[in-house]
Amino acid sequence: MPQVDSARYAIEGGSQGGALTLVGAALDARVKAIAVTHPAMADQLAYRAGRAGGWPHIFEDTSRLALMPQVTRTIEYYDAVNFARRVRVPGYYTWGFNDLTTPPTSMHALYNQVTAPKELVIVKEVGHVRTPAQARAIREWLLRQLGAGN
Amino acid sequence: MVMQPAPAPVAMQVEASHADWHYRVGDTAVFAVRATRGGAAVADGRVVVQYGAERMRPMRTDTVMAGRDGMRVRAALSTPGFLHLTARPIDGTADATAMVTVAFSADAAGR
Repeated sequence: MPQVDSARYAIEGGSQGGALTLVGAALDARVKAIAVTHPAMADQLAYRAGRAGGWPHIFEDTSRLALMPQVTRTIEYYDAVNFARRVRVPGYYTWGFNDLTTPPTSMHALYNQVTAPKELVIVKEVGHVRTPAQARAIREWLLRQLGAGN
Repeated sequence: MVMQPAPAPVAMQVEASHADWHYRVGDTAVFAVRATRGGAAVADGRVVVQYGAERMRPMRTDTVMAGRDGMRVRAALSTPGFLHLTARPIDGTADATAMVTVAFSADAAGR
């Protein structure tokens, strides 16, 4: 597509889109920057360690761990933390502490594994939503990363 | 017949002692819990306060009197993570629940 400048290519998303943003950045070297809002699918097997895992909470009932060994092996690959470790581009991360869908325990477990340049903005009272202010900040940050900011 | 207006619902407020909601393991978080109706403190209302590591079995669930000056709840986590506290009037709906989720050594969560 001629209207696409593939040298300045960023992705962003929230929740499942946040997880997919990390997958895209980890697997596609064209991505120059990312923004991740309240990522889902993070640290999903954490329940076996006695802490909150990420949405969709398949193993919140830990009896499922023994019943679904193939699923646990598959999740070890598809977990968003696995892709967060592989991200090599700057990232803007933002969420709230009152998120009842994607627990902050799981999101910080993910964030703590990112070794690429990163910025975390907590809007502590916020739940599983993206506020207009967060959306504006993401857009401005991504444009700056791509050399298109004002 | 004169209809009495329905009383205003009880509203809950919860405030953490650290304004940024960040603590370190070893700290104790103190939560100020207040019940109000129409902006005035509800002293004799019963309130259910529950807290624990998020999505885990609650560490404590207590039913207490709100008190004119509110109440203080002290809680802590012994490992990195997030502590979730809710407070609601005993006869209130989920909409009446106030919540706060605070971090304990968030930079070590999941490690």
